[in-house]
Amino acid sequence: MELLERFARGDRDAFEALFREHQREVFAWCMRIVRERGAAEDLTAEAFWKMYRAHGRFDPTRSFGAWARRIATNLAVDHLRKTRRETPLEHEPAAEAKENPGEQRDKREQLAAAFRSLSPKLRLVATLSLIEEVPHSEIAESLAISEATVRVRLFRATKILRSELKKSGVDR
Amino acid sequence: MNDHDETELRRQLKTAVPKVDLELRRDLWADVEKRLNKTDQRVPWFDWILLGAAAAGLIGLPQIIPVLLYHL
Repeated sequence: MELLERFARGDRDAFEALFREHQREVFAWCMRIVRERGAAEDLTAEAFWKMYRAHGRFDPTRSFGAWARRIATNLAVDHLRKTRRETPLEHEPAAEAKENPGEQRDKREQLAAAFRSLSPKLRLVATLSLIEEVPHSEIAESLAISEATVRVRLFRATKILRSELKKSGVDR
Repeated sequence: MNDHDETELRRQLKTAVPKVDLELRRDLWADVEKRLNKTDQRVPWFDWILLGAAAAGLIGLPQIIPVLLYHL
């Protein structure tokens, strides 16, 4: 508690202690969203810089981790917005493509493209819920939205993905 | 969309979107510190306005210079 109060007053040592405690968690969260190591490192550093600048607005009775995650999420969404459709997803060879490697690869690429074409807000919820299996309550807290909104966004994302896949003949 | 559809979409997405390594491989404190130091060195915009106003005052009303010097 004392550490959080010191941070809220702008104490840099307290901030460094909190950084050391939370940097891995914030990095992992950014990585889950943006899925690029370099970008996730930059976002983590920027998120902590923003936290320090906003120390006066931090309420020491609340969780630092949740606050940090919310700031990191906002930055990660901005990053997705800026890089939308630009960054192809690097793919590690998967073990599933044994039967017809060409066809499997095409399907995979079409699905990845459909996924990238989602709006950042929908992509974020789809990534966290469908790929990372983060509980809806945790997604809602990180985005400062209700669980109902998470479900609506997830529904819209899956609907768009399904229709894109049907168009490209993947979903048969 | 029923549960089966969602499970299938989840499976397909996990195949299409690569897994990522969530482990942080280097300490990021130096990056944060660099940003913090850059912020500390930056002069706030209102300081520039104050400086400009003071300079304009001195140029426009040079007779106040001896008064200011007297009070310093």
